[in-house]
Amino acid sequence: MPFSLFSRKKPSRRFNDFYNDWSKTLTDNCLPLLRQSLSSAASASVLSTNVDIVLRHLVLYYETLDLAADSNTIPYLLFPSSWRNSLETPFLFLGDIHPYLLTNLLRSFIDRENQDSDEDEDVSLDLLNQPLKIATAWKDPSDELVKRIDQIECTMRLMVPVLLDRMRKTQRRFVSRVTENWVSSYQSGKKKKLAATAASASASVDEAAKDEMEELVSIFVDANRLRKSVIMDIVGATSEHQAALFLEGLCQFLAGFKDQVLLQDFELLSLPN
Amino acid sequence: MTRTMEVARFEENGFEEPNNGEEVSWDVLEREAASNVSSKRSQSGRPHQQDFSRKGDELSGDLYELWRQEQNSIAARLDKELKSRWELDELIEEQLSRYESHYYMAMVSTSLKDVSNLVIPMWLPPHELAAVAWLGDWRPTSILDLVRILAAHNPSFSLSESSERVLSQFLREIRIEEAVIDEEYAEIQATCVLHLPFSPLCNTRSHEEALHSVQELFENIHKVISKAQRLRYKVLELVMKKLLNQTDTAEFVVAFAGIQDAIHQFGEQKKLKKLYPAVLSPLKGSGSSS
Repeated sequence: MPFSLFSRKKPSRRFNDFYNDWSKTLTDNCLPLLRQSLSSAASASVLSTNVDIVLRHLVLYYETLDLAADSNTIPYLLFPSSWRNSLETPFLFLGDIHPYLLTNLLRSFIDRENQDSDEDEDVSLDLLNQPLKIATAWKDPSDELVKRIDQIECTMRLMVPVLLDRMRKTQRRFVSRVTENWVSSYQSGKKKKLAATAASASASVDEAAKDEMEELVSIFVDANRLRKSVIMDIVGATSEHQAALFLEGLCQFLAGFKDQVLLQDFELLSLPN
Repeated sequence: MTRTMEVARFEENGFEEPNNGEEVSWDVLEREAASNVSSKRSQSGRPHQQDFSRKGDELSGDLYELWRQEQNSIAARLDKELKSRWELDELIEEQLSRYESHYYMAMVSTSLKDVSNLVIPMWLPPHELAAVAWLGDWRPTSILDLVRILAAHNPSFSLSESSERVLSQFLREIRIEEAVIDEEYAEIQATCVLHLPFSPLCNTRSHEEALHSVQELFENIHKVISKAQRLRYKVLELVMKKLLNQTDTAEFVVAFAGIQDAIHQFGEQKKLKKLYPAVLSPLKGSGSSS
């Protein structure tokens, strides 16, 4: 079976198509699945299974991103404009959600539930149908959970600046190399037309870009590894109910970017003056 | 003193009618001139050195007239050079104001979609974006890298030691300003983003409220992008007006344009190859989580 898979000529399809299917599954299957297990008196094992299914769906996405990344395709993955709409592109950090968003989301759930309870009315509107266990899932989080979130955040806050720094250095190194080559071909060809200099410069851009794109692939893969591991760590650190609520929130958020009604209005909106 | 300098100048041009008191030295000069004529001609390119070999009695009012004409012609050429220098100044000014209007274009964006296009400009090929883009355009520090490398590798570039120190200092400062903008943008991407109407933390009730929260968020993004654009212009202005002299500024603009163009061409060529991200098709019947 593996043999036939790899020997066939074109067993591949565009990432674009994969993403659209993946996103549709997230909205149409994962989100209802989680809501169902949260709102009804579903058994603990069903909840656990569903959390696992959704987690695997998210992990699948990051793994597929990694597989799709090589030095030819990396620009499309870092700056996706064909499968991401203009509502979401400004929020992309190295091609996907910012890793800090994940812990911020988790912390907001906890903070909201543990504030002075003047707003209890607001919060509990949606939760009326939920079993008590779920409605109070974020109430008084265990010391262990708080400590674990701190740890996850701490690691992340070490890694994100490193990723940004690598990106910056890679781009600056590229510009420096291209400039060096351009200067030397400009010097040697000062009597030639500027166009001739441009032609020889373009060959050297190719060369410098090869190294740059490889480094960008590595940065992208590391950024995805971070996002993926933060999601898995959060699910690992929280209880089944908390994990289900967190994943539901995340899926709702990701699905929200594809809301066609909002998107249509977004296209027409102007900046406030 | 003035007289001595004038003599020296006339000697160089070889047009002075020798007077008796200086006969001896003229003879010496003539002999030297005759023996050195070929080398001098090749070195200095002054076409009239060999006139020294003429006998003094031939020199007359005609020759003085010729000398004057030569002076006028050189003056005319200098005048032309000066004018072209002014033209150079004008060209540099024009280019600087073009940079200004280009980088301040961000300020006049009106729709939310414009803002997205500033972050990922649709008009730039993806490979160009990946190669150089930071918030939609060149990194200010990359522009300074370009100056640094021009100064180091281009022999006609004449950056003084103190200017080089200014450049290093400047590079450090701009690097910090870039990092500050990165921080501000991260705040939007990681925290403010949770105020989008579909966020699980958002309690917006009406559709109008929802749209308003999107507007506000994009206004914040627009502010950060505009800040990045202003930083780019600030760098260019400082480089072109304060750091570099006129000729170096011209060299810089030529290089910046040439390099931008080379990278853009590279991006366009890569785009034509259409090597889009692909994934293996799932095997039918294999257990996928979806």
